[in-house]
Amino acid sequence: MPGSLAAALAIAVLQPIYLWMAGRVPILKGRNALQFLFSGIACVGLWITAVLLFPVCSPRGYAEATISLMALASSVLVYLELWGLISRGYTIGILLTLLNSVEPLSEREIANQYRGGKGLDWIMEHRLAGMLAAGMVRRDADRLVLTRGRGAGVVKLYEIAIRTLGLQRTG
Amino acid sequence: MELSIAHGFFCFLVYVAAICVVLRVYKNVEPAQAALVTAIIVFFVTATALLIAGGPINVLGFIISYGFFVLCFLMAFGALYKSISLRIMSDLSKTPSKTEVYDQVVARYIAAESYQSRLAVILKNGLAVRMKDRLALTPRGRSIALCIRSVQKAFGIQNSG
Repeated sequence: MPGSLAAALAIAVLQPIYLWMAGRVPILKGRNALQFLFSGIACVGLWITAVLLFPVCSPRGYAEATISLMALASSVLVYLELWGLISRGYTIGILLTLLNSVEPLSEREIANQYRGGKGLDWIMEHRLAGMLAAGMVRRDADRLVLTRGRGAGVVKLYEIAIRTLGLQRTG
Repeated sequence: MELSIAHGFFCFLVYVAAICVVLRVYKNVEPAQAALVTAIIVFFVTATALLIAGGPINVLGFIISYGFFVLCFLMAFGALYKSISLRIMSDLSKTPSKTEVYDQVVARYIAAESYQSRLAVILKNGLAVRMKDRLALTPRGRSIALCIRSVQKAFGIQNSG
Protein backbone atom coordinates (compact mmCIF):
# COMPACT_ATOMS: atom_id res chain seq x y z
CA MET A 1 0.00 0.00 0.00
CA PRO A 2 1.39 3.44 -0.89
CA GLY A 3 2.68 5.44 2.09
CA SER A 4 0.40 8.43 1.44
CA LEU A 5 -2.66 6.17 1.43
CA ALA A 6 -1.54 4.33 4.59
CA ALA A 7 -1.06 7.72 6.30
CA ALA A 8 -4.53 8.87 5.16
CA LEU A 9 -6.17 5.70 6.50
CA ALA A 10 -4.27 5.83 9.82
CA ILE A 11 -5.21 9.49 10.33
CA ALA A 12 -8.83 8.84 9.33
CA VAL A 13 -9.22 5.93 11.77
CA LEU A 14 -8.21 8.25 14.60
CA GLN A 15 -10.87 10.88 13.85
CA PRO A 16 -12.95 9.95 16.95
CA ILE A 17 -9.95 11.07 19.02
CA TYR A 18 -9.95 14.49 17.33
CA LEU A 19 -13.71 14.65 17.94
CA TRP A 20 -13.17 13.77 21.58
CA MET A 21 -10.54 16.52 21.84
CA ALA A 22 -12.87 19.01 20.11
CA GLY A 23 -15.48 18.32 22.80
CA ARG A 24 -12.97 19.51 25.40
CA VAL A 25 -12.14 22.83 23.71
CA PRO A 26 -14.11 25.47 25.69
CA ILE A 27 -14.97 27.59 22.63
CA LEU A 28 -16.45 24.53 20.84
CA LYS A 29 -18.54 23.26 23.79
CA GLY A 30 -22.16 22.66 22.77
CA ARG A 31 -21.41 23.54 19.11
CA ASN A 32 -21.68 20.12 17.49
CA ALA A 33 -21.17 21.23 13.89
CA LEU A 34 -18.03 23.21 14.77
CA GLN A 35 -16.66 20.26 16.74
CA PHE A 36 -16.95 18.12 13.63
CA LEU A 37 -15.44 20.81 11.42
CA PHE A 38 -12.47 20.99 13.82
CA SER A 39 -11.92 17.23 13.59
CA GLY A 40 -12.20 17.27 9.78
CA ILE A 41 -9.66 20.07 9.48
CA ALA A 42 -7.41 18.15 11.90
CA CYS A 43 -7.54 15.11 9.58
CA VAL A 44 -6.55 17.05 6.49
CA GLY A 45 -3.95 19.08 8.39
CA LEU A 46 -2.33 15.96 9.84
CA TRP A 47 -2.22 14.27 6.43
CA ILE A 48 -0.57 17.30 4.81
CA THR A 49 1.92 17.44 7.72
CA ALA A 50 2.71 13.72 7.34
CA VAL A 51 3.20 14.12 3.57
CA LEU A 52 5.52 17.10 4.03
CA LEU A 53 7.53 15.74 6.97
CA PHE A 54 7.96 12.04 6.14
CA PRO A 55 9.29 11.05 2.69
CA VAL A 56 7.67 7.61 3.04
CA CYS A 57 4.25 9.31 3.16
CA SER A 58 4.92 11.44 0.10
CA PRO A 59 2.55 10.50 -2.80
CA ARG A 60 4.18 9.38 -6.06
CA GLY A 61 2.19 11.44 -8.44
CA TYR A 62 -1.08 13.28 -8.71
CA ALA A 63 -3.27 10.16 -8.91
CA GLU A 64 -1.89 8.65 -5.71
CA ALA A 65 -2.46 11.93 -3.84
CA THR A 66 -6.03 12.04 -5.20
CA ILE A 67 -6.75 8.46 -4.12
CA SER A 68 -5.32 9.16 -0.63
CA LEU A 69 -7.46 12.28 -0.27
CA MET A 70 -10.51 10.34 -1.52
CA ALA A 71 -9.91 7.72 1.19
CA LEU A 72 -9.58 10.45 3.81
CA ALA A 73 -12.70 12.26 2.58
CA SER A 74 -14.72 9.02 2.47
CA SER A 75 -13.86 8.31 6.06
CA VAL A 76 -14.78 11.87 7.09
CA LEU A 77 -18.15 11.46 5.30
CA VAL A 78 -18.87 8.21 7.18
CA TYR A 79 -18.03 9.86 10.50
CA LEU A 80 -20.13 12.89 9.50
CA GLU A 81 -23.13 10.64 8.96
CA LEU A 82 -22.63 8.97 12.36
CA TRP A 83 -22.00 12.32 14.06
CA GLY A 84 -25.15 13.77 12.52
CA LEU A 85 -27.13 10.80 13.75
CA ILE A 86 -25.81 11.03 17.31
CA SER A 87 -25.89 14.80 17.63
CA ARG A 88 -28.98 15.67 15.56
CA GLY A 89 -31.01 12.46 15.27
CA TYR A 90 -34.72 13.12 15.67
CA THR A 91 -35.56 9.52 16.65
CA ILE A 92 -32.61 9.43 19.05
CA GLY A 93 -33.92 12.67 20.59
CA ILE A 94 -37.27 10.97 21.28
CA LEU A 95 -35.54 7.92 22.84
CA LEU A 96 -33.48 10.19 25.11
CA THR A 97 -36.59 12.12 26.12
CA LEU A 98 -38.18 8.82 27.22
CA LEU A 99 -34.95 7.82 28.99
CA ASN A 100 -34.80 11.08 30.92
CA SER A 101 -38.33 10.63 32.23
CA VAL A 102 -38.96 8.60 35.39
CA GLU A 103 -42.38 7.48 34.14
CA PRO A 104 -43.98 6.62 30.77
CA LEU A 105 -44.93 9.68 28.73
CA SER A 106 -47.88 10.49 26.52
CA GLU A 107 -47.20 11.61 22.93
CA ARG A 108 -47.92 15.20 23.92
CA GLU A 109 -45.54 15.02 26.90
CA ILE A 110 -42.76 13.62 24.70
CA ALA A 111 -43.35 16.47 22.23
CA ASN A 112 -43.22 19.06 25.03
CA GLN A 113 -40.16 17.60 26.77
CA TYR A 114 -38.22 17.00 23.53
CA ARG A 115 -34.65 18.34 23.56
CA GLY A 116 -34.56 19.17 27.25
CA GLY A 117 -37.94 20.92 27.28
CA LYS A 118 -37.53 22.95 24.09
CA GLY A 119 -40.33 20.93 22.49
CA LEU A 120 -40.96 19.80 18.94
CA ASP A 121 -41.43 23.39 17.79
CA TRP A 122 -37.69 23.73 18.23
CA ILE A 123 -37.16 21.47 15.20
CA MET A 124 -39.28 23.74 13.04
CA GLU A 125 -37.64 26.89 14.40
CA HIS A 126 -34.20 25.37 13.81
CA ARG A 127 -35.07 24.41 10.23
CA LEU A 128 -36.78 27.72 9.57
CA ALA A 129 -33.76 29.64 10.87
CA GLY A 130 -31.60 27.80 8.34
CA MET A 131 -34.05 28.41 5.48
CA LEU A 132 -34.39 32.11 6.42
CA ALA A 133 -30.62 32.56 6.72
CA ALA A 134 -30.15 30.98 3.29
CA GLY A 135 -32.79 33.29 1.78
CA MET A 136 -35.05 30.41 0.69
CA VAL A 137 -38.14 31.63 2.58
CA ARG A 138 -39.21 34.74 4.48
CA ARG A 139 -41.67 35.36 7.32
CA ASP A 140 -44.59 37.65 6.59
CA ALA A 141 -46.51 38.10 9.85
CA ASP A 142 -47.91 34.62 10.59
CA ARG A 143 -47.14 33.27 7.12
CA LEU A 144 -44.20 31.52 5.53
CA VAL A 145 -43.40 32.78 2.02
CA LEU A 146 -41.18 31.11 -0.58
CA THR A 147 -38.73 33.63 -2.02
CA ARG A 148 -38.94 34.15 -5.79
CA GLY A 149 -35.25 33.93 -6.65
CA ARG A 150 -33.33 31.53 -4.47
CA GLY A 151 -36.26 29.63 -2.94
CA ALA A 152 -38.00 29.01 -6.26
CA GLY A 153 -34.66 28.11 -7.89
CA VAL A 154 -33.80 25.53 -5.24
CA VAL A 155 -37.30 24.02 -5.52
CA LYS A 156 -36.83 23.69 -9.28
CA LEU A 157 -33.49 21.88 -8.83
CA TYR A 158 -34.99 19.69 -6.09
CA GLU A 159 -37.91 18.67 -8.30
CA ILE A 160 -35.61 17.90 -11.24
CA ALA A 161 -33.49 15.68 -8.96
CA ILE A 162 -36.56 13.91 -7.54
CA ARG A 163 -37.96 13.29 -11.03
CA THR A 164 -34.60 12.10 -12.40
CA LEU A 165 -34.08 9.67 -9.56
CA GLY A 166 -37.65 8.46 -9.61
CA LEU A 167 -38.27 9.15 -5.92
CA GLN A 168 -41.96 8.96 -5.06
CA ARG A 169 -42.10 10.73 -1.75
CA THR A 170 -39.51 12.54 0.35
CA GLY A 171 -39.20 14.08 3.81
CA MET B 1 -3.73 4.69 -10.09
CA GLU B 2 -4.96 7.16 -12.76
CA LEU B 3 -6.95 4.38 -14.37
CA SER B 4 -8.49 3.30 -11.07
CA ILE B 5 -10.04 6.76 -10.61
CA ALA B 6 -11.51 6.54 -14.11
CA HIS B 7 -12.76 2.99 -13.41
CA GLY B 8 -14.31 4.12 -10.14
CA PHE B 9 -16.03 7.06 -11.79
CA PHE B 10 -17.33 4.98 -14.68
CA CYS B 11 -18.78 2.38 -12.31
CA PHE B 12 -20.30 5.18 -10.25
CA LEU B 13 -22.12 6.40 -13.39
CA VAL B 14 -23.39 2.84 -13.90
CA TYR B 15 -24.62 2.95 -10.29
CA VAL B 16 -26.50 6.23 -10.80
CA ALA B 17 -28.19 4.78 -13.89
CA ALA B 18 -29.01 1.59 -11.97
CA ILE B 19 -30.55 3.44 -9.01
CA CYS B 20 -32.76 5.49 -11.38
CA VAL B 21 -34.10 2.21 -12.81
CA VAL B 22 -34.39 0.41 -9.44
CA LEU B 23 -36.41 3.23 -7.84
CA ARG B 24 -38.82 3.20 -10.77
CA VAL B 25 -39.22 -0.59 -10.90
CA TYR B 26 -39.33 -1.43 -7.17
CA LYS B 27 -41.68 1.29 -5.97
CA ASN B 28 -42.46 -0.41 -2.65
CA VAL B 29 -38.84 -0.76 -1.55
CA GLU B 30 -37.45 1.74 0.98
CA PRO B 31 -35.33 4.14 -1.20
CA ALA B 32 -32.43 4.32 1.28
CA GLN B 33 -32.24 0.53 1.35
CA ALA B 34 -32.46 0.35 -2.45
CA ALA B 35 -29.65 2.90 -2.82
CA LEU B 36 -27.35 0.96 -0.49
CA VAL B 37 -28.06 -2.52 -1.87
CA THR B 38 -27.74 -1.27 -5.47
CA ALA B 39 -24.34 0.29 -4.63
CA ILE B 40 -23.06 -3.08 -3.36
CA ILE B 41 -24.46 -5.07 -6.30
CA VAL B 42 -23.12 -2.60 -8.89
CA PHE B 43 -19.71 -2.73 -7.19
CA PHE B 44 -19.43 -6.50 -7.51
CA VAL B 45 -20.88 -6.61 -11.04
CA THR B 46 -18.67 -3.84 -12.42
CA ALA B 47 -15.53 -5.08 -10.60
CA THR B 48 -16.11 -8.56 -12.07
CA ALA B 49 -16.68 -7.06 -15.53
CA LEU B 50 -13.43 -5.08 -15.27
CA LEU B 51 -11.52 -8.19 -14.19
CA ILE B 52 -13.01 -10.26 -17.03
CA ALA B 53 -12.17 -7.48 -19.51
CA GLY B 54 -8.57 -8.22 -18.51
CA GLY B 55 -7.15 -4.71 -18.43
CA PRO B 56 -4.81 -3.54 -15.66
CA ILE B 57 -6.89 -2.78 -12.56
CA ASN B 58 -5.70 -1.38 -9.25
CA VAL B 59 -8.26 -2.97 -6.95
CA LEU B 60 -7.56 -0.77 -3.92
CA GLY B 61 -7.66 2.40 -5.99
CA PHE B 62 -10.88 1.25 -7.66
CA ILE B 63 -12.56 0.45 -4.32
CA ILE B 64 -11.55 3.83 -2.86
CA SER B 65 -12.60 5.93 -5.87
CA TYR B 66 -15.90 4.07 -6.37
CA GLY B 67 -16.59 4.25 -2.62
CA PHE B 68 -15.84 7.97 -2.55
CA PHE B 69 -18.17 8.85 -5.44
CA VAL B 70 -20.94 6.61 -4.07
CA LEU B 71 -20.63 8.12 -0.58
CA CYS B 72 -20.87 11.65 -1.99
CA PHE B 73 -23.96 10.58 -3.96
CA LEU B 74 -25.54 8.91 -0.92
CA MET B 75 -25.03 12.06 1.16
CA ALA B 76 -26.86 14.12 -1.48
CA PHE B 77 -29.47 11.38 -1.91
CA GLY B 78 -30.09 11.28 1.84
CA ALA B 79 -30.48 15.07 1.92
CA LEU B 80 -32.99 14.94 -0.94
CA TYR B 81 -34.88 11.98 0.41
CA LYS B 82 -35.03 13.00 4.07
CA SER B 83 -35.11 16.79 3.93
CA ILE B 84 -38.27 18.22 5.45
CA SER B 85 -37.09 21.74 4.57
CA LEU B 86 -36.96 20.93 0.85
CA ARG B 87 -40.39 19.34 1.01
CA ILE B 88 -41.87 22.34 2.79
CA MET B 89 -40.44 24.61 0.10
CA SER B 90 -41.67 22.35 -2.68
CA ASP B 91 -45.19 22.31 -1.24
CA LEU B 92 -45.10 26.09 -0.76
CA SER B 93 -44.26 26.48 -4.46
CA LYS B 94 -47.41 24.53 -5.36
CA THR B 95 -49.74 26.96 -3.56
CA PRO B 96 -51.06 29.82 -5.76
CA SER B 97 -49.63 32.54 -3.50
CA LYS B 98 -46.40 30.60 -2.64
CA THR B 99 -47.26 31.11 1.02
CA GLU B 100 -48.84 29.25 3.91
CA VAL B 101 -49.72 29.92 7.55
CA TYR B 102 -46.69 29.08 9.69
CA ASP B 103 -48.65 27.16 12.36
CA GLN B 104 -50.23 24.95 9.68
CA VAL B 105 -46.79 24.08 8.32
CA VAL B 106 -45.59 23.14 11.81
CA ALA B 107 -48.70 21.08 12.49
CA ARG B 108 -48.50 19.20 9.19
CA TYR B 109 -44.80 18.49 8.80
CA ILE B 110 -43.46 18.34 12.34
CA ALA B 111 -46.33 17.33 14.59
CA ALA B 112 -48.35 15.14 12.25
CA GLU B 113 -46.06 13.51 9.65
CA SER B 114 -42.52 13.62 10.96
CA TYR B 115 -43.20 13.05 14.67
CA GLN B 116 -45.78 10.32 14.14
CA SER B 117 -43.57 8.46 11.66
CA ARG B 118 -40.67 8.53 14.16
CA LEU B 119 -42.89 7.20 16.94
CA ALA B 120 -44.07 4.46 14.60
CA VAL B 121 -40.43 3.51 13.83
CA ILE B 122 -39.60 3.35 17.54
CA LEU B 123 -42.62 1.16 18.28
CA LYS B 124 -42.11 -1.06 15.23
CA ASN B 125 -38.48 -1.73 16.15
CA GLY B 126 -39.41 -2.69 19.70
CA LEU B 127 -37.57 0.23 21.31
CA ALA B 128 -40.69 1.39 23.16
CA VAL B 129 -44.11 -0.02 24.00
CA ARG B 130 -47.48 1.61 24.33
CA MET B 131 -49.03 1.37 27.82
CA LYS B 132 -52.58 2.65 27.40
CA ASP B 133 -51.98 6.16 26.03
CA ARG B 134 -48.37 6.38 27.20
CA LEU B 135 -45.03 5.23 25.84
CA ALA B 136 -42.26 3.53 27.81
CA LEU B 137 -38.85 2.27 26.71
CA THR B 138 -38.39 -1.47 26.41
CA PRO B 139 -35.20 -2.97 27.94
CA ARG B 140 -33.67 -2.93 24.44
CA GLY B 141 -34.70 0.68 23.88
CA ARG B 142 -33.33 1.64 27.28
CA SER B 143 -29.95 0.02 26.67
CA ILE B 144 -29.65 1.68 23.24
CA ALA B 145 -30.63 5.06 24.72
CA LEU B 146 -28.12 4.62 27.57
CA CYS B 147 -25.42 3.70 25.06
CA ILE B 148 -26.18 6.80 22.95
CA ARG B 149 -26.17 9.00 26.03
CA SER B 150 -22.75 7.72 27.09
CA VAL B 151 -21.37 8.29 23.56
CA GLN B 152 -22.78 11.82 23.62
CA LYS B 153 -21.22 12.40 27.04
CA ALA B 154 -17.83 11.08 25.89
CA PHE B 155 -17.79 13.37 22.86
CA GLY B 156 -19.14 16.41 24.69
CA ILE B 157 -22.42 16.54 22.76
CA GLN B 158 -24.65 18.66 24.95
CA ASN B 159 -27.71 19.29 22.82
CA SER B 160 -29.01 16.58 20.56
CA GLY B 161 -32.13 16.27 18.44
